[in-house]
Amino acid sequence: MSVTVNTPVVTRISDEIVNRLQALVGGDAGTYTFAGVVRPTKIMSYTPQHGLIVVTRGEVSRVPELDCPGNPPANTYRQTFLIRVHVAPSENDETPVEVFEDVMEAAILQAIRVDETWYTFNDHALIADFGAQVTTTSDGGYDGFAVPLNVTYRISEGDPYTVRG
Amino acid sequence: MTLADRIVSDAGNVFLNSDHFAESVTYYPFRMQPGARTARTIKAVVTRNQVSTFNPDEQIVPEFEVRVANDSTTGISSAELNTGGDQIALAVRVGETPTRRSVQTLIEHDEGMLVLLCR
Repeated sequence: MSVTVNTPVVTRISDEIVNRLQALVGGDAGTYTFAGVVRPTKIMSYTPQHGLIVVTRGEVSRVPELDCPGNPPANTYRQTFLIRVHVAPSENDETPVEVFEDVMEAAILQAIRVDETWYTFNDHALIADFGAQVTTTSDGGYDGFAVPLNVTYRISEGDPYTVRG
Repeated sequence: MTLADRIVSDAGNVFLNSDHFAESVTYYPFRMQPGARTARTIKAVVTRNQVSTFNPDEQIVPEFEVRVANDSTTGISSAELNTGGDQIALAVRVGETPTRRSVQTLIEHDEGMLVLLCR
């Protein structure tokens, strides 16, 4: 089923994150160019490759200290989005992988922080912050890194479609 | 002909025989330098595993174990293989249209064959 008419607040935040990252694809940065941005499906249809960004979700938690009373009350959640990047340059490339990580992470941070109110993701969130970079592994070896993006948003109780400021 | 020669010969003529288990696939050498080398059709024995966990993305991915001749014409030579960009077009399910999959790991190899992990 394709949901196109209206989507919950957290989905709209996901969409905005992916939209901002799409601006990185196809840039003129040589081996630092990003190959694409994907969100996994049930059985993923993409192939892992150098510079591919994969956006997934991590932990979600309640933030009761930011709830608001009322009828209905407003509930606050903190969702971690994981912006994963595959780093697989040529075997002949002598560039240290940490340089790829540094450059690519910087590009991602700048792409997400588009303006002074970047953290609202088009008025859907209260605040957002980046976590520390995490190295990802595959088959017992190195695969790339992930940047956690923590987004706090508030919705009406029992109504995940309605943003509460 | 030595035993070693016969093993290499059998890899191409017997194991990778299309009348047995081999199929034709397209090998794309090193996509980072598209002008340097061109794609070519090679023989391969492909073992498909559609449900496999891929830890970096914490996703379920199709995984392929691909056996090819260690040969720069009929297969892929171990000297030319580059896991930083080489791809092989593979069908996730037999009968489907092949799509390009990255060669991620050289699992093992000898003078006769390479065993590759593609996703």
